[in-house]
Amino acid sequence: MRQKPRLSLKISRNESSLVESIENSGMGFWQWIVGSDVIEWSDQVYKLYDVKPKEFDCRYESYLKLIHPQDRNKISKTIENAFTKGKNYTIQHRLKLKNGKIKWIEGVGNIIKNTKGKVTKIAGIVRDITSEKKIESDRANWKNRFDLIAKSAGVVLYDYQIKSGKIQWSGESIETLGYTHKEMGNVDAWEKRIHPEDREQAIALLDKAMENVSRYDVSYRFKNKVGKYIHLHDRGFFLAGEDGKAQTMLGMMNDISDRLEAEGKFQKLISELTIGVLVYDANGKVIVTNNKAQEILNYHPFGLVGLALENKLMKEDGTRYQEKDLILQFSTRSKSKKKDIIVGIEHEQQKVKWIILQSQPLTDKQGKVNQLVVTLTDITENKKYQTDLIESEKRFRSLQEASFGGIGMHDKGIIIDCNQGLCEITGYSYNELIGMNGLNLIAEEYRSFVLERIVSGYEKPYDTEGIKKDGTRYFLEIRGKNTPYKGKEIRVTEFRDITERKKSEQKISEQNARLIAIAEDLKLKNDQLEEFTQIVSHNLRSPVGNIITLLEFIENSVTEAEKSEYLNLLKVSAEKIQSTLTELHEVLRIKQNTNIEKTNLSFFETLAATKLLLHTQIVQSNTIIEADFSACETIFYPKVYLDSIMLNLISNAIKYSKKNVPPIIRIKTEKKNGVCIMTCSDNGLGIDLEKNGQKLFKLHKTFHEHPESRGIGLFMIKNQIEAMGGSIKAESKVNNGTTFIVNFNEYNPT
Amino acid sequence: MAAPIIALIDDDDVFQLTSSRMLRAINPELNINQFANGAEALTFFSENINNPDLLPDIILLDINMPYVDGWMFLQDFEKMKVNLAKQPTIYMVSSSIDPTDINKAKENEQVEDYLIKPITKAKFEVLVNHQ
Repeated sequence: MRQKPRLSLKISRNESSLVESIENSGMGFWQWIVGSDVIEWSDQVYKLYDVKPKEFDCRYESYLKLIHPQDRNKISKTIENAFTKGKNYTIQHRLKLKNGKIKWIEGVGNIIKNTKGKVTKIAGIVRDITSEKKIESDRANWKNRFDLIAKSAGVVLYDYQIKSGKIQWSGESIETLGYTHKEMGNVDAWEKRIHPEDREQAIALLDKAMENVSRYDVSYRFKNKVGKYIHLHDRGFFLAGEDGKAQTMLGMMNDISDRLEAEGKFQKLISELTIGVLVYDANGKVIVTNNKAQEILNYHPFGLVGLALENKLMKEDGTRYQEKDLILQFSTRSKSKKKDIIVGIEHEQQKVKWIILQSQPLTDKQGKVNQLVVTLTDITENKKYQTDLIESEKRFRSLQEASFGGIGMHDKGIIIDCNQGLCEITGYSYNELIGMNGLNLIAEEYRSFVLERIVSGYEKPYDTEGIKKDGTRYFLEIRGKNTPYKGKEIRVTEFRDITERKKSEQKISEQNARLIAIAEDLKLKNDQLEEFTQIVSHNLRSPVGNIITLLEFIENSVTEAEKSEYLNLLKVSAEKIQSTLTELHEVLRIKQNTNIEKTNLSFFETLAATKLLLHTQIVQSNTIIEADFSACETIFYPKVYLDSIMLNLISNAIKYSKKNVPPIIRIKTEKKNGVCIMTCSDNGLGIDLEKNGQKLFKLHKTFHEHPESRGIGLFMIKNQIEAMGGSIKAESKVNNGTTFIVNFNEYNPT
Repeated sequence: MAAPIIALIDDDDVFQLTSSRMLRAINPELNINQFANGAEALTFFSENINNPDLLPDIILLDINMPYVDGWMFLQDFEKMKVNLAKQPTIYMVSSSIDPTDINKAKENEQVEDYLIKPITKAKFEVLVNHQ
């Protein structure tokens, strides 16, 4: 085995000591002399490259083969550059070792020239940088892992370089704030998104931490992507640069809106309570309180620590509490609750506030008392009320005697006391009334009605009927009230004879009814007048206008043909006027002729006659008519009118039936309050009453594109019915049939 | 400019005839569309909602008509109007001198004016030329 000398390098003595020290520090030295076909390596190079000297021919090509294939190109280019351009280099590359492992090498190459400036050789150093590379990649891994944790915790991380104003964001900014890392932007963008009300304070706090290069912990509202402010908890620390001043700010923030909201709700709940609340911690310090507690105690509750308020408290009998009573102080010694303790506390001007106090010690898991909750209820008003009550009981007697009405006090109906007034109203003596069931003073049919009000504690006045000792009845107004009396809840009832009032009330309501009837009648007459105006305006004036125009046309006609055409049209217009005038006359006759002869008519016979008249239409349309007149078989009515009503309703029902649906007409009578009502329903097209309701019974109004619509029938029968003191109305929905309801005697009950 | 299109919405045959003739005498080019009631007109307008060449410039609308009268026409027309390719001028035309009718028409923002029948040729001339 040929042992290669340790330094088989063609180097000077100076150089050799340098190479030795290089070797000693674990690095390798090499040189490549211009013109030579081998590279000279020191021992360490062989070791680094993991080849044995005898196995390696030291040629450039063989050397390149040791390099990781992906770095080979880079190396050859660098070395070629060094030779051709005389450029020194430093390069990092990988080796693929025989065992398959990767080694990182850093190589430095220096061009060495002779005194004439000619390149004589390249010399260099190589060293193993694998472990350094590992640290680098570990750092990258660490950052990834940290990001992962930040993400899962919903935390936004940042690294703010103070000088440049740049911030590197990481973590869950989209999830938390809706912004991508890029959108989070620099320090200005961050500052702008802080709620204006919080900005100044937050920045001041951070500036102070920056000045001290210290930790910080702030919270502020921050506008998220959708423009909503959320509460952010932001904490971290400043790092100093070489000058000792803050250079970097590292921190994280997360959304604490939910937590704040929950805390806020609890605080709000307590502050809004109408009872005072104090919560002490184990050090006797008040940690939670509310306005009411402050108001009741007349003390700032946070000033209560260590205060022996006990000597300001008094018992119900007016004696003072002792400090040792520990009413308003926390004590780890006492685990017992205090319940319904009434204490008085002096406020200014010797006024005493009365309080009901409850306290509840809270224990931790070990059973040690660690908190005390005290609630305070102000009962000063109640106490005053109690005192007042005693006086009012005294006053009651004299008052009830002076009252004009009757007053009785009863306990579950049994009269226990009453005044003279009640005796006068009911006719019983005082002695008779005491012990009597008060309900016996009420007319029998109203007793359950009155009892109901006693049981429910009804307190408003109401009318009923009373019965006197002699059996006479009278109108009575009662007003009862439940009151504590001699320690019991009894009912005080006031009786008032309202017979006179009732009588005049009745008179008024009769007059009212008469006025309403007159008003109705006037309205009807007014409606009819309006109707006539409409008829004259449209139905008469319209053809007259045509006649005027046509006359002008005739005057200007040149040919006979023209003239005769206009004359024909003149005739049409004149005929229209005539027919409207006939209809008007007919209606006027109906309205005037209210004394038209009436006879007893059978609905059944009238229907039979109508069916005969409409025979063709009924057969052609397959109409089915179902009639039921059993509830009211006959009516005393003008025959012509009843014929007309029946004919119009039935012919309308057939005329406005749905296409291809045989009409079914149900016609029946009924009697309500002595008035005969006839209803006629069909399964036809129906009418949009919202649109057409007002015009339904008017002259020449039609609601369907039907060739035979003339709009006369309903107008006419409405007039007939109204002339006889009745009414007609319709109920309908489009496509859902129509029901006409004829009330024959609405305004004229017989 | 093409002669205006006039829609006559009236159930009165005689009025339709005399009015058309007077209008033609004023301007033989006039395009006159006749409708016997509001429903017919509404149907035509909705069928030609995007066609300004067929929609009227002037509507002469009668109040008293069977089925869909002038008032009902105005109600439905108001809903249709926004989508209509042409916005016509509406005149209410009626024989009624009842102040109730006149005021009701004048209060309606869609109605340009209320004309009382009979309408003279001179009045028609103003209408057509005003356009």
